[in-house]
Amino acid sequence: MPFVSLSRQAAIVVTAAMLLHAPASAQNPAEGTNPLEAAEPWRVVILHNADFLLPGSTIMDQALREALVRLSPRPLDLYGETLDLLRYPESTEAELVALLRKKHQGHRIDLVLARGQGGLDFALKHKSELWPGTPVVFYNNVGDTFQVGSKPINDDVTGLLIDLDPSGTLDLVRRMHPGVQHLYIAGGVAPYDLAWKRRVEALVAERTDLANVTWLDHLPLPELVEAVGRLPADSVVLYTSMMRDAGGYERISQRVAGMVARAANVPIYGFIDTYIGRGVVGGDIPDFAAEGREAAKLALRVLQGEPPSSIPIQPAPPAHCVVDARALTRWHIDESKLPAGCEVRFREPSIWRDHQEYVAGGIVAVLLQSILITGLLLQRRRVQVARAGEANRRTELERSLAFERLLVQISSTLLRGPLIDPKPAITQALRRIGEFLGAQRALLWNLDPVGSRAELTHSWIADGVALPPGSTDKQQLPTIFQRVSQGEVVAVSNVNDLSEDDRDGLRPFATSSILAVPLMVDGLIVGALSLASVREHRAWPPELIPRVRLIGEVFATVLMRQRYATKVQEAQTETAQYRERLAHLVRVHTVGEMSGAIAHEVNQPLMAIENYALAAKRRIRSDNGADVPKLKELLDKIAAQAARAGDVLKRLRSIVKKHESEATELDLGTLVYETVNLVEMESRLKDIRVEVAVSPDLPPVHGDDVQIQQVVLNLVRNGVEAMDGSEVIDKLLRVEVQDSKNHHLIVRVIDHGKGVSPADRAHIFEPFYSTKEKGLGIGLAICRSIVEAHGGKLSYAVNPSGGSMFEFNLPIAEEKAEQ
Amino acid sequence: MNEPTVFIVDDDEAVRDSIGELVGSVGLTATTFGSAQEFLDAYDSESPGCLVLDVRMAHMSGPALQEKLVAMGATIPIVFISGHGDIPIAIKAIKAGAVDFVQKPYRDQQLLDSINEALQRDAAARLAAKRSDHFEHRLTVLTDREREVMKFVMQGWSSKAIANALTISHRTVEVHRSHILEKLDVRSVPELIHLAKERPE
Repeated sequence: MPFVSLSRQAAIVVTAAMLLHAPASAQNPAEGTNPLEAAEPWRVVILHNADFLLPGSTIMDQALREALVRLSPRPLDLYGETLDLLRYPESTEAELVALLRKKHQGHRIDLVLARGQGGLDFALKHKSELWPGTPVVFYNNVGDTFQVGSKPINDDVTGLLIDLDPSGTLDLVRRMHPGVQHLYIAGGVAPYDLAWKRRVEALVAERTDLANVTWLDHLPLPELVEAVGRLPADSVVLYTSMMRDAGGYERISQRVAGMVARAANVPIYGFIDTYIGRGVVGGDIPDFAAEGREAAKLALRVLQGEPPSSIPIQPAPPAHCVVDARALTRWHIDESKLPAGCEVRFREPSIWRDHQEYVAGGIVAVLLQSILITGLLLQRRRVQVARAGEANRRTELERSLAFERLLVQISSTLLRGPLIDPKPAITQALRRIGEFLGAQRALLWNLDPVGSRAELTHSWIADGVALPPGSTDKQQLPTIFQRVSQGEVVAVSNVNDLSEDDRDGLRPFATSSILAVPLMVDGLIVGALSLASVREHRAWPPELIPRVRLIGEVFATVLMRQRYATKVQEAQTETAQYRERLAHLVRVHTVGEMSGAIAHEVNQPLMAIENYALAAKRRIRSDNGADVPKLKELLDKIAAQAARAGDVLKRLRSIVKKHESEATELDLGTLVYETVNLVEMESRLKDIRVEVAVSPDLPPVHGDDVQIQQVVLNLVRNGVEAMDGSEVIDKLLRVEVQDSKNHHLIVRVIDHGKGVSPADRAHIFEPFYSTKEKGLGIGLAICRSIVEAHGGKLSYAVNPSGGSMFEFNLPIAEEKAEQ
Repeated sequence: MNEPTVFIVDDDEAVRDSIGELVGSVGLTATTFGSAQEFLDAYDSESPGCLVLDVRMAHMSGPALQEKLVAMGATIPIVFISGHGDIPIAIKAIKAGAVDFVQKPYRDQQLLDSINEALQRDAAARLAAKRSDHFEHRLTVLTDREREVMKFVMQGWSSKAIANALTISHRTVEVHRSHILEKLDVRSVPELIHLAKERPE
């Protein structure tokens, strides 16, 4: 299937546009040919060694096609053919040849563009059968067969060799890490890898400015990953490429770059464009787009009649410095030391990293960023379309525009949404994306840190479509998990293209097409967004995939915000629970201390009851006959005393009972009266007067009654204890409740006791600090913790007329509700 | 005035009221006070009765009130009620003249028995005091000669010996003796000796 097939009609438009612009290359042999001849298109086969959709391929091929279309004096018919040798080396060669023969039979092919050594090998091997006499231009070739400047063996062949010069990257390492002592070089053992090794080895041997060099290419990947985590501090890793590891396993080089970068305890450099963004700091990177354009120019020279044999093999455009801003930050590398003109990618601020407390500025930054990116993409699109001027491109543009509008809307909605429960907003966003892309399911998954299990967190499903499972794991969907956890997008329009395991995993849900996008925050994959169509195949427009990735980052940011906010909330709840548990222990202890007074408090009504009952008994037995009104009076008194005893126990229970701390509206004055009542017996026996003064008409406060009562109880008992045995004649403890006129109520407990010594004052609120012989030293600490948890403050002051004054405040209820 | 009253002092209103009811149920009169001071303010040593007193009270405890009463020379019998089983306080209170020390929870009759005993003690004391007052008064109506004879009688002298000592007739001494017993309202010499000994010097 041709990747891009230009219609003839469109090609004419392009030609006309070119003529109007009158570029230099247009004034070439095509000049003077009649319009009809000019309308005869050149047919060009692009033989691709890998998948067109691989990121590296896309950049280069897009530039190649653009340049071809822009510069060609004639219309072009492009036939893209992928050999997919990276995944299916040679196994499909015979079938492919048969297929190509069938497709191209009877068509004149003017040029074969062969990508990579694989493309070139295939072209040379089957040229005589498939495209006899057709010239071949190769590109993206590391130079296994030829050398720059040399004349090719075959007269019909010329091309571009990638400049395999890692010295620029080594220069960058020297520049950024002047004190580096060790250079570790990681790579694989595939022919492609070995080509790099030869280059690097030669370079390293030439250079004297390099530190001790150690090759790690003898290590299979798992051992390599382990080894790079334990390197000496003053080292740097250079990663070349790994298509196959020393253990004999095929690997995908850019994924290995990511794995090594993640595992490494020192910075890692590399010189392939696709490594950037996977954790590699940077390198001197060949410019894929420029190479694509150079290949196009070379192709046009051959198409316009220059014999390949007269064109020496050319070098690809020089590499240039590219670094990843996030990796610079990770390794604390000074950005100012970068060479001039170095391209810094991924500079976007991460909300998560920079604004963990979800500062609005961070959200705005990402929003602006996404709008800016969208703007830039649109602008580029417009330029492309203006140049191509092609109908289906226009449709594509409209679709892109619509999609980008949607994404901007979704992003702003999500980022402005609530922190704790963004669920409705997320579900809505999923629906809109799903509907736009023609999917019947749009799901968000939380991925565990090792990428082996995914939990469904949010979902949208179209009517009548089966519910997705709540979780899934790597065993069920090995390929999808593998690729997504490497940060790759899985875009499959037919699930039969997936591995058998994945197909089996998806079968229960009647999935026909699937698009799975990693959710990345700060280079970390935290989850996945998956879109699926059910029972009908859906082509995922490749130009939209980068945008879906972008929205994936927005989702990821929102999910991380939620995770963080939920964590904070959980931690607060947990703290509250611990506080209540401790508070409960202290209350139980307090009740233990008060047991003597409490026993008395309960015994009094019991004794009264007994007396009344004996009196009643005697009156019944009286010789004068029972005095019924008197008996009734006695029984009423008994009932009242029974109720009194019950009340004491009830109040006790309210202190000691375990309860979930919960906030209600409280009348602080009543609470203080009731609490003082509990202490009354103790204070009375100690000849201490407790005076309560509550200002009238106080508003309620918001709080946990048991805990606030505990604070008052603790302070009042402390005051009583401070005055017990003191020489003061009038032992008065005063408890005041007032409005602070500052949206708070204030409770003051003022005693005339011994006071707190200046040395102790600074410590009385510290846990386990006690000035009492038998004190636990927890009372005041827990009181302060309770008051602060209620949004108030507890403090100590010296009573000017001798003794202590403890004061705490609590926010008034309405105020709190308004906040 | 002759009706004895049970004075109840307890700072717990229900407790003092219930004791009052208990006391009332056996036909006794009770008056209650919320504090020791209240009782002191209302106390009249002339009114017969007893005191039921809580040991633990704010401001002035039961034993503190007892001390004060003793200092005042008040002899009202006291029944203490204590919920705390405070043995040293009990011993001290009993030594200072308390009738009983009733510990809560007490048995059915215990408090009433103690109150009864206290009332009896009060009545006896009041009777004794009354008799002693009477004796004193009678003494004043004795003649000088009779007083002289009484001294010898109280030292155990026989009428004959007294007659010899005072150089009066045996018969005259016998007349004086009978006048003394008659005037002092006593039936025998031993009783006279007993009463005279109780006299404050």
